[in-house]
This record gives sequence, C-alpha cells and structure tokens, in this order.
Amino acid sequence: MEGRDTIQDAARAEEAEIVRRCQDGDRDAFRFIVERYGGMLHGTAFLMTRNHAIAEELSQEALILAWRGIKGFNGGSLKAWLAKILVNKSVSQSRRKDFGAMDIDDPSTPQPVARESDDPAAATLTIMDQERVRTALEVLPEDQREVVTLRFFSELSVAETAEALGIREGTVKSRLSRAMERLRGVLVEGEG
Amino acid sequence: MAREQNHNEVERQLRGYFDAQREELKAPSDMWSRISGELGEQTSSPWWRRIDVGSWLRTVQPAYAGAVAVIAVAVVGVVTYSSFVGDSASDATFSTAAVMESDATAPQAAPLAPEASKFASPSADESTMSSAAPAPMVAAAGEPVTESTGSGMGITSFAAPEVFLEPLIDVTLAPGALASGTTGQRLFSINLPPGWTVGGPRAAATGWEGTLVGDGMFLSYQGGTSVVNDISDVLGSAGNLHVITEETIGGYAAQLVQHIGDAEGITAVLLVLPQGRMLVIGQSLSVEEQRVAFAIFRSIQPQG
Repeated sequence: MEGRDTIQDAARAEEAEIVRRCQDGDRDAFRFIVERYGGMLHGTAFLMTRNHAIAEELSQEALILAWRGIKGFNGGSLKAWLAKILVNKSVSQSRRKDFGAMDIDDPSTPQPVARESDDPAAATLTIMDQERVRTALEVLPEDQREVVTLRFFSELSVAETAEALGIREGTVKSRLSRAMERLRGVLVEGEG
Repeated sequence: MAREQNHNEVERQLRGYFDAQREELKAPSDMWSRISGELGEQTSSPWWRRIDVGSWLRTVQPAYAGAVAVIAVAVVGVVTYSSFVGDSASDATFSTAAVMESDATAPQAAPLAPEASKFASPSADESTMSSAAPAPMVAAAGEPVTESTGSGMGITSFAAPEVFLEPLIDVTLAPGALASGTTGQRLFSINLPPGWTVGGPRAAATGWEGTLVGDGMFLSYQGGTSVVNDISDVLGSAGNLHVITEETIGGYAAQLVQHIGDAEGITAVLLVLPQGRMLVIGQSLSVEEQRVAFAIFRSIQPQG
C-alpha cells in the first residue's frame, strides 16, 4: 500500500512539473499531456455524443482550450480539469446540435470486439455481452450515463467526476446508484 | 448478499465493456499534429488565480488558516465596499479590459454578473479599454453558479464553457445605406467568438439593424431613436421570467436581461446612447449560450 502511495506521489509530482512547464509556454510538455489524456478525452467524448466526428472535434477543442487556459489551472486533478473542459464543451454543443443515435453501419463507429485481455473479467465478456452492456447504457438517462462513463471509462474518482460535471459528490453517488440499479435490472435480471 | 453479488456483476460487465472500448476508442494517432498548429497564445491568468490558496491552506495549521481566512474576508469586504461606493463614475464594469473572465469569481447573487473585471482593471477608462481591446478575450470555465433572482427563483447553471472572443472589430454602415447621408461611420465595435459573422448593418426606418451569427446562435442588433426606451418593454408580461441587471458597457448605461434557466425567453442588452439607443437581442438561448451572449454584449463599444 505504501509503495503504491509512493508511486502515486511521484506521478503527481511529475504531472505538476509538466503542468508548470506548460504554464511557462512549453509546447513539448503539453504534447505529453495530449498523448497521455487525448485518448481518454476522445473516448469520453465519443461515449457521450455517440458520434465519431463530433468526438474528435470536441476532444481537440478541449485540448486547445486547456492549452490556452492552463495558466488558470491551480493544481488538483489535471484529468478532472480536462474532463471538465470537455464536458462543458460537450454540453454547449449538444444544446445546439442533435448528435443523433450511433450509426452502427458507419465504419468509423467502434463495434464490440472480442479481444484478449490481461483482465480475466474483461476476457470473459463476449461480443454479445458487450452488445448487451452497450444497449443497456443506451437506455440510461443522459445524466446517469455521463456519470457511469466518467467513472468507469475515464476512470475518474467520485470527487473528480463531481468536479468534471460541476455537481456535488453526493449527486454523483446518487446518479451512479440509480444507474447501477437500472443496469442491474437489465443486465442481471433481464428486465427490459 | 444476492443484491451485492448482482452489483458486482454489473460492475464487472461495465469494466469489461469499457476496457474493450478503451482499446477501440483511441485518439487519432495524429492528434498532436492536428492541434499543435491551433494552440495559439496562452491567456495570462490574473494574479489572484495564480495564488493556490487551497494548496497553501492544506499545509498550514488550521488555527493559522482560520485567522488568515478571517483577515482575507475582512479585506475583500472592505475592497468590495469601497469599489462599489467609492468610484461610481468610473467604467469599472467594462470587461473588455480583462483578459480573462472567470465564472468562479463572479458574484454569486448577480446573474451573469460582470465577473471580476473590477479587480482586473479598477481604473479602466476609455483609453485603456481601447488599448486593451484588440487582445482576444477569454471567458474561462468556472465552478457551478447558483444565481438568485429578485423573484426568489433560483437559476442553477453548470460551469460555463470557455468563451474566446476574437479581437475587436468595427461595425460600419456602408456608404449610401442611410438617406440622411451619414454613411461610412462606425456604429459600434465588438468582440465576437471565432467564426462568428456580422450581418449588415442595413438601414432601418429610423436607424440601422443587422445580425450576429455563430455557433448556432442568432443575435439581432438594432440602433436608432425608435429602439425601446426600457428593456422591460421588450419583455411584456414575461418580465417575471427574466432577470434584469444594469451596468456600464463601453461607457454607457446598459440594461442586460437574461431568461431564467433554459426556459423560452429573451437575452438582450439595451444601451442608452446620446443619440438613440442600441439593442442586441437573442431568443431561447441555453444557459451556456446566454453566457456567450453576455460576453459579447459586454464587449460592445458604441460610437455614441
């Protein structure tokens, strides 16, 4: 446990240094952030919008905004701060555009895939299982799906999820609880 | 027990699904090359945002932190009081001079209040505004704001998206547009977000009118002597669903109106000029769009 804390402390120190260099205008340092968090932002954007083109646009805009505004970043979780910019951008765009449903015939739309994994739990998830989970997530209200996505895909903590969405931790927990209850009904008990 | 097992099973399936998605949803390999040319200049942070008070407080004894907090509250109170009472004539609310606006620093009770521009440029006047205006403006993301209104209805909004405004542009009446022969004159200057366009201005019966369009938003502007005298005239019976605030924009008295929440309504600014008035108005804007609109409104520099 102590070893893990030490690693986390080192990671935080490294990230703080990268942020400091970005704040000094070091673009190479920012490239590191893009490479580290670009995938998370892109994936989160896709899962929120279900549109590949918009996801790319959102994640890139979020990173550009992050660069321009990083001097205002005062510490805390960089990941949550980036997610917050993305969510704000996403909310802003979703009010203006109809993202539409995922087009499964679109070749750019990720399809469930069978793959090998080091995680035995994931390895046992068949293509059909993945499709069931995807369908179950589709029926969640948007606010619940957002929380689930940030917690399980973006791997934000409850506090970070609250920060990213601009809501209280208690609200995150209650949305998550309702989402899990609903998913349990669909995935485990086979409710429609 | 069964319920807990079910919960774990749901979590297992979710993690499996998202692990697979994480493999599939990788960022484009050329993401850096796509954005590196678009990064642009960083916006400088105001001095009070550079001080990481939270981090500092975590490292000191609670008793010291409490004492410092009390002193800080007292100082802020005195400064705030004196800024409101001391110099009402100065155009301290003009936000163009502020390079960065932050919702986190916005007064909680004032809907879409002019953020911290008082602190950014306490002695701003027309000349300093002009020199500062060409710099792009940024309204940065902030904390969620719960805003109260006079009617007791709360407006809760999530953190706003960042609003970047391009350098100041002049909106000029084309030659021959007015029968009176007053043409080619600058009507007003304004900062707009990237990609926005100005329609017009066209000559109207007793003035001029046009549009500001971008990001799926549509604002119309009009100026002249036939423009309403008071913003409440625009609202009619829907006044109780709107919040009206008054401030100084570009050196002129202005009324700003926003509708509550995401309801149907008006978002507008009315500037009272020496010769006539100027109205910029949008309808049914979302909370975020209203913030963009207010950032635009506050950048207006009328000809007068």
